[in-house]
Amino acid sequence: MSTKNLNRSAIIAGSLALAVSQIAVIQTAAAASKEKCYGVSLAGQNDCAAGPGTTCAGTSKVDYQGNAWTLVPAGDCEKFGVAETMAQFELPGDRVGSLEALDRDLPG
Amino acid sequence: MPTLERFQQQTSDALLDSATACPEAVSGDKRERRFDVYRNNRAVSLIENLQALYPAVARLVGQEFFTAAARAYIDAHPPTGPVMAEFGEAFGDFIAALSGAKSIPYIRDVARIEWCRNAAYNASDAPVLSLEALASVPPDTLPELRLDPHPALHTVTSRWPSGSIWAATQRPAGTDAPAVDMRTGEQIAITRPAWDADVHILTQQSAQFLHALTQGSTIGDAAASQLDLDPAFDAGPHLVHVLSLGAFTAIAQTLTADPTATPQVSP
Repeated sequence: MSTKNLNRSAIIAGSLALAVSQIAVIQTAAAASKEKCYGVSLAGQNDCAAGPGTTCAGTSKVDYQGNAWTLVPAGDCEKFGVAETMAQFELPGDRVGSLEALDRDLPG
Repeated sequence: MPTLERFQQQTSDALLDSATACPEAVSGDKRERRFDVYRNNRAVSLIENLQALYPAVARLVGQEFFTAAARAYIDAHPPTGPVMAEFGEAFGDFIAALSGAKSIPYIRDVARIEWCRNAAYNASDAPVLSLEALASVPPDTLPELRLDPHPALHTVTSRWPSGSIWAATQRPAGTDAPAVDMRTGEQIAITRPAWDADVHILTQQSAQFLHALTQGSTIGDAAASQLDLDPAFDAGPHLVHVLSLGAFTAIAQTLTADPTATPQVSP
């Protein structure tokens, strides 16, 4: 390896190491600000992944379908069906929102 | 009675071409008029689909032109499958080829950005490679690493400032469009770091560096290529930048020879 190449490798390695060492300081705002919430969307209004045979958004067949999800602000999902003093978290019956897919309210 | 297959074929033919008579199984008064309801529903729903997919294009060309172009498109390029998220990819090329769009040559690339946003939105779920994950590897090994692109990553290279034009269409109605230098080409990356598809305008250097990484170059090789073009190229900030957009999903697990291992010599 020539001196030029050695220098070049050192420049690159130094630049990468320096930038990465500063990561903790710069920290991005890319952290998830939303979460998937299962069992809270009205039929046809889910965001994605309503199960086999369907393709993503708007394909849930029944209200509050357990395997269909909607994006909600992080931390809000588990308020659904619990913090019912606020209208936006109301769910009929004893349903609650879930961060995992549920086996209730599946289309027949 | 026609067979089911025959009925379906006749229905399909009659829906796709209004000059074709409606299926013989449709009987009674005003059979063509009644079947027109289905022809119209098909057309309207496909046009609405394009409208939802290409709102920036619609804003740039105006609603009247857009609807006319969409109507012509669904005849020229009917859906080839049942998944509406996969319908409409060629609309940008189609509308750009219309004589009415000659004065807005960037429309094709703006449409491309919108199509890529749709593709990014519907791409597989995958974790985003975080800056912290990169910070946790020994710094001296960074140049040897390869990165796996995130499934939602899409890039558009435009000889027009298409990213800025797209961004201008996102402004609230009634506000003035920002000035855009029409002589400047742009490199655009679309990522989906959380749940929404984001559009980013990259510098030429960042875009080329990102492209090399997505093609499987090591970080060191990708940086060296840019350093050859510009002796002042500073790889670190470019790497942090493209990573922070959510362009990658993981550090590639490649089998590389261990340089400290003793070569095995067969007798």
